[in-house]
Amino acid sequence: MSALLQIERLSVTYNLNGRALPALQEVDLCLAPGEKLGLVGESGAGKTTLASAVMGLLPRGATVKGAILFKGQTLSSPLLARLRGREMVLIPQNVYNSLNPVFSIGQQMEDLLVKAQLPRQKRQQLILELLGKVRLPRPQELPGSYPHQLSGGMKQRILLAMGLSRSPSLVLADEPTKGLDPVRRMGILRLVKELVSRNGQSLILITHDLKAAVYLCDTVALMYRGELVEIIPASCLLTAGLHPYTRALLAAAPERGLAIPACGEGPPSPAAVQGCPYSLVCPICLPACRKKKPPLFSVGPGHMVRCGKVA
Amino acid sequence: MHKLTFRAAALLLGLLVIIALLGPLLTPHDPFSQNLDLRLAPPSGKYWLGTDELGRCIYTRLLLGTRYSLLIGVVVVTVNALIGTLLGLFIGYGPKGMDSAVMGIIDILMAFPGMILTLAVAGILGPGLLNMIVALTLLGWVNYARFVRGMVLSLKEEEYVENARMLGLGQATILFKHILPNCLGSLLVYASMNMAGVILMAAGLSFLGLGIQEPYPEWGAMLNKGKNFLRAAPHLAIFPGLAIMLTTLAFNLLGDGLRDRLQGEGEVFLIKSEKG
Repeated sequence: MSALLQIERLSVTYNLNGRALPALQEVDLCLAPGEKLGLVGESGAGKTTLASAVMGLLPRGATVKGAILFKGQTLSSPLLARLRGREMVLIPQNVYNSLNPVFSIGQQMEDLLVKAQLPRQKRQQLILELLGKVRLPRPQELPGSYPHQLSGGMKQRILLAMGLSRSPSLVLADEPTKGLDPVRRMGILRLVKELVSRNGQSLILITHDLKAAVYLCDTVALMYRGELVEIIPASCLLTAGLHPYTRALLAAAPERGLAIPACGEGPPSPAAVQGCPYSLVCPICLPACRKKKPPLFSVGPGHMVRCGKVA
Repeated sequence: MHKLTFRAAALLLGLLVIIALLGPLLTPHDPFSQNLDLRLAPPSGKYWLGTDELGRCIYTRLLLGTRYSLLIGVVVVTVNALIGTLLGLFIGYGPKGMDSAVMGIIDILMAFPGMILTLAVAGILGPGLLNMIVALTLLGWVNYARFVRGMVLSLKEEEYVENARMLGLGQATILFKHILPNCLGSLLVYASMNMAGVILMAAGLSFLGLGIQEPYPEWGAMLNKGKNFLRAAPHLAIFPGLAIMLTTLAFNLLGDGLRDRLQGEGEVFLIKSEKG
């Protein structure tokens, strides 16, 4: 089966007042149609940068190397402008500010459907259908309401409805449950899983929550300082994670005693480290790790690790 | 208290608009007919605000003058706001090179003393209503462009704008449906305060003889005439002066009131009219 999204040796460098700040380093990823991938890592690991690079929405001044292929086509600005919203969408992480405060929900949803060239009545019917699909209570009352009148959970469902309105084949969800309480969080995760599975859409879920990734995804990719350190089938993550960083993250889960992983602030820039970026804080680091970066190598079906010790 | 001043300002402005529209119907006198027997007559039952040096009813002339002042204010502010807003939107949202280039020109224009340029242009073009409007719009748009550009720069980083981009909305839709409507509130506050400045400036130009000419009654020109009779008949200068003051005060209070309503109380919001 050909890949829906293929990322080849993608590096992104931000320019911070003339200083180069590498955010992603030679990331290779492949996403099959209908596959659900979880991107996990601490803040600053490059998860959102990866999603922005796929959507072509990196800030000005960012340097991109490598290639991103969508359905076999290399992504370029004109192609991205055609694909965004139709073939791929990003569900934003901040639900509170992601809806325009001066327009009603109905107007904002209608903007998305205008290009579908449907008559007005049909559009409104479609909006109600979409709002019903994300299980919002009393959907018929919602189109007239404004964002400030809705709760965080409702806004997230509306953003989800907006994202899925044109049935994209790739959905990127950037921490879709950020800022929601545990009950709402579970509801949103269940809804995302159900909607995406029903339509056979591919999903890239960016999250800090390992359990959410295991629940929703087929594969989980762990990132540390702009690099992929482990790609593992979600079902094996909690038991068979091999990279010391994966294990540190697992040990930090509340039910396992909240062991704060030794991530440290690390060097000022990942590029300053010659070898493995995790070698500075790694408990099982070998002398060779500090000199040369180990490659990602396969340890089982769908399971790859970048660790000198495991090799 | 805030609400009260806002309402008072809105009421006063409503009244001014009615006067501007109905003007001549509210008085039995003709604003142009002279009665030399009644020169410089003080306020009386017949002539509520007295008469001027040619025996014309000051009350009637003030009513008609409202038209000119409001017309100049509305036209100048609308034209300035339109030009400045469109330009501000494009330079704020467009490529950085264009922004730097246009902002360079705007900075040069702002370094030029506006009053002197306006006076010079009004002097070159000659007196008259249209020429005065041209002189006032020549540099007036600059502040709007700067103001809107600043707002666009911050609004385009807002998450709902980012979200609109991710949902595949076109640039024009994002600019005019997501960024512009969010500028409008502050723009309205700025425009209402600017209106006061423009009316004051227009009165100033007429006072200097560069605006509307006799026999048409413009408040600034009336004030200019009145200054010659300050000792003998102070009412000639006092009433046009009061009219100018009340109108600018009303627009400033309206701006304050709008700001409080649109921005929420207690929020510091730095907008000050350059001239008002």
